Amino acid sequence: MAQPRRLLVLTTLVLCVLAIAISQQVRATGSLFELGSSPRLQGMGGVGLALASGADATYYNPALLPSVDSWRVSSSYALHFGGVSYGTIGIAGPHLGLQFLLLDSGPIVGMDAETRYSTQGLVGSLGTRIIPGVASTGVRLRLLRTTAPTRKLGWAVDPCLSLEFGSLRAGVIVEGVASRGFATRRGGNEPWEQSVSVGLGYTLDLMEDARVAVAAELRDVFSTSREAAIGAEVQIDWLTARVGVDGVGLAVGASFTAREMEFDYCCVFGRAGMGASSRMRLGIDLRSVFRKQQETQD
Amino acid sequence: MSGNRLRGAMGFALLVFAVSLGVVGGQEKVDPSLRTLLGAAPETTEMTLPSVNLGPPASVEIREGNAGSVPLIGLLVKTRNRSDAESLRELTIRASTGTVHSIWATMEDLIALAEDMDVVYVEPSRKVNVMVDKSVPAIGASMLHAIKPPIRGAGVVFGAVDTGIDYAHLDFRYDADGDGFEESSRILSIWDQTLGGVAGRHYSQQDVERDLALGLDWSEGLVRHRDPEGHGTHVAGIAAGDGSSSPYGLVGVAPDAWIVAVRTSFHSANILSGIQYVFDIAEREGLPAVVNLSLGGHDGPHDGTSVLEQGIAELADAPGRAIVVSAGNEANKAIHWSMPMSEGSGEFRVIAGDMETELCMWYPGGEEIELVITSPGGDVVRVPYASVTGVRELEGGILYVDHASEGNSILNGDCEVYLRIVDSLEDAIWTIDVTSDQAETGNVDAWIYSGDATLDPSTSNCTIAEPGNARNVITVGATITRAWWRSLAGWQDFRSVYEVGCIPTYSSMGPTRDGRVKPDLVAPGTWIAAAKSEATSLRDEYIHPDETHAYDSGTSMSAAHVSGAVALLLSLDPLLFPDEITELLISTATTDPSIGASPPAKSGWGKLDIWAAAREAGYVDQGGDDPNSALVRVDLRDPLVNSTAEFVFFYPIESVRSAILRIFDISGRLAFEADVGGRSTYVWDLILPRGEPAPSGLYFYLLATDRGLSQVGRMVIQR
Repeated sequence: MAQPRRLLVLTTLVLCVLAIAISQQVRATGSLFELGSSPRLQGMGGVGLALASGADATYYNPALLPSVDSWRVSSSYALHFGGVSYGTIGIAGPHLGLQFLLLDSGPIVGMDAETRYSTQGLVGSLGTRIIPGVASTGVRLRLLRTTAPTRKLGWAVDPCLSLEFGSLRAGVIVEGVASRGFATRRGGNEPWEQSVSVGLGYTLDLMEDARVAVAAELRDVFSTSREAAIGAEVQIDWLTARVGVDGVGLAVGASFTAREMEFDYCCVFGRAGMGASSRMRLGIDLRSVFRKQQETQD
Repeated sequence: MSGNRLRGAMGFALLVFAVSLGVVGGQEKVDPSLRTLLGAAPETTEMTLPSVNLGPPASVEIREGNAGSVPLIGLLVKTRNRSDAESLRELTIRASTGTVHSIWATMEDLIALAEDMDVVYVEPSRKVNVMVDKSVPAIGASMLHAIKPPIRGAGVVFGAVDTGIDYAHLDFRYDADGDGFEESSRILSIWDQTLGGVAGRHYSQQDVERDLALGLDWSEGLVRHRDPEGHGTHVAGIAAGDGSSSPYGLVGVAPDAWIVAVRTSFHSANILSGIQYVFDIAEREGLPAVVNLSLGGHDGPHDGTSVLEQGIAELADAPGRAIVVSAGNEANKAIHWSMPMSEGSGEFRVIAGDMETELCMWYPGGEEIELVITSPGGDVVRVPYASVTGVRELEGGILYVDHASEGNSILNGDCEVYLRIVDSLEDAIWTIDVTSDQAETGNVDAWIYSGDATLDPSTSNCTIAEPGNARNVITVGATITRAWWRSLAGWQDFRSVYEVGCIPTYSSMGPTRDGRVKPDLVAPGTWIAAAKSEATSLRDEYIHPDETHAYDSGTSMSAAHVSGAVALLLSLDPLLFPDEITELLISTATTDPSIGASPPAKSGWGKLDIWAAAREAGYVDQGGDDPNSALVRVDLRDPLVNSTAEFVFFYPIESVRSAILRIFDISGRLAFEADVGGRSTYVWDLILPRGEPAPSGLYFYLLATDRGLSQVGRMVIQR
């Protein structure tokens, strides 16, 4: 029974990819989700399709959620390119993840008028193994609401896949397979972006407390605006350093791990005069906390 | 007593007095419109005493004398030299520029003046008309505000002879003690000529600040002044408002300048007094001053020789002084007719309005023309050179014409025709045939200057309003910097009427009648957002969303921009002479394709660029190191867009080789870029390079030049 189900899932994914490939590429509503949610992965150029772990899988590739072995909560904040507040808070565990994103521009003052852009996003993800140790799949639901300058609501469903070959991983996500875009002023509908992105990641354990990971992605592969990204990180004990590059620019980052807590920082240097944008995140591994409580009670 | 009844009674009294005096000598020194009051005609023509009571012309300033005694006429008197003429010694001089004096006089005084050997000419104090952001950056003023130290007009007096000022408006106040409350006023003085009789009322800075401190408005405090028309407040806001009442950054051109406001009656003698008042206050404070005259009319030779214009030219003839005048808004109002003398004959029609009509005609001295006037009812009146018709009751209205009855004008040697039509039906047509002696040069020019009549045919040339033709003044025409705006009533879109960058059809055209280039330059004048007077009532369509600013249009607004720019120059060099200021402004004025199609008569020497003027004079660093990178700026008129985004750039256009506008999506990816080198504005249609519409969301933008980058701005596309 399991074999036909796996075949069904894989066939569905392939069909989704083909459907997107032959459809006209349209830009879309969900711009908030282009920001990414993880300072760790943004420090590597956003290459999370094959490399996301822990709570990051909720956002970057839910097919990686089955490999998450504990519940984690995390919260991040960025003053995006100096003028926009962007924060996230999320929780993720085996097979399931939830993340809330909040962006607020504050007042934007023009010569004659003023406006504000405020939007919130919710990402709910599920992941399951199709072939243990080889393939897993997942689905991501994105809800987007803007509250300023006008109230609008939209959603999109994005299936995804992860394949594992030893230390090599591959990820595919098909965005906007089903969606509802924002209503426009003229009574139309502004669709979500439909796109297919693929990624490869390779992790090499150098010694007991040292690890190197590299990853690459090709985003929007069937579009003329396709984009490549590449990133790498080196972890030595409690410290991780990383670097990456994508369409936004060069990114660097670092993480510090102390017991059950992890602090991530990244800085993205924008192109063409955009300046730099920094993000930071604090994550807590709840299993460690619970274990501590359990030990205390015992 | 109502104004009309008072005027009629006074007119009757004046005429009875005049007739009783008989023929008066020295009438050649008296403006033709005043000769009607003297009630005499030259011996060369058949004398026709007024058979009906016309009363004084509506445009002449007349006031009741003390205790209701003899009526007083407002006059401007030009004397031979700077010492007072004998006949002036007994009179109260309201203002004196040197050889031009503003006085109140009785009929008896007028006769004495006419007979005084030291008096050159007597002109009535005539009523002129008041003339009705993006724009401050567009003239380069924002760049002067941005450099270190900033140049914002500190230490300069900006004077407005206008409808007054809303003295409580936050844009004219400042926080002297740093407590976060703008308790102090930048208004040094207010003179309200319309209050308190002939002398008007004066209010000091202390009076204003006292009322502000006590929270008293115009009806309760010491300062009884207000600006119900709102024009003067708007003009002052453009030139010297600091925008502190609004979060929209509506900062004026010289936001640190001191202000002197004169609420005038708009009679020429009062205007002259108002200008002198501003300069007197500035002199008392030891500061340079620029006076803005957003007003004008068309009675006069349009060659700078009217007594008012000579007085203004004298007042401005000193270091640290400048007078800026609006060109006028009559280019499309059909008030001017012109015929080359060489054509020999021509005809034009006066289409009467619902008011009394006054018209002046001028042609070169030494020539002679003959007029044949046909009334709407078919009566024909022949008016040869050196004649006066007297008051004629014709089929269709009453006519009075003085055709150089006292010979050529003493002011300029040319011939003047004064024509007055009363009690004509609206839209009735008076036909005027002109026959000249076919001189090779010169024109016959006619202007409607009182009433709402129009001329057919008409020409837009030579419609610069007096005193804009004066020497020593800077005359300013308008450009369009805004054609749509957000108001309390929503978006107002006039893009089908106004094209941004061009010169509006209303902006009066030069040259002067003696062939000088006017306007001197053009500046933003169409739909300018500036301070709104609390006392004025406007439709919501013209009120800015912040409710403390309003939109208004006209060369008045253009003149205010130039006045502010002059204040910036004077803050850099308080001893600049008026001709130096003018030369700086016109030599650095810019032209572009949008006004290239305009004839020079419309655009003068080009668009105001005060940044270039300051650099040209060496007041601002010419080099590239400092502080140009901070001066590259890009702004959006409205950061919320749905079909187009209109960007405005501020950078030293003349020294920048490349300028690229870049737009980034929310993640920081480059979404669009355009080469905007040499342009001050750019409209993006929100289409991405691959032909798709840019999706809704937040975007960033910046301007990249070879002299530096602008700050990153934000915009929202909302489909």
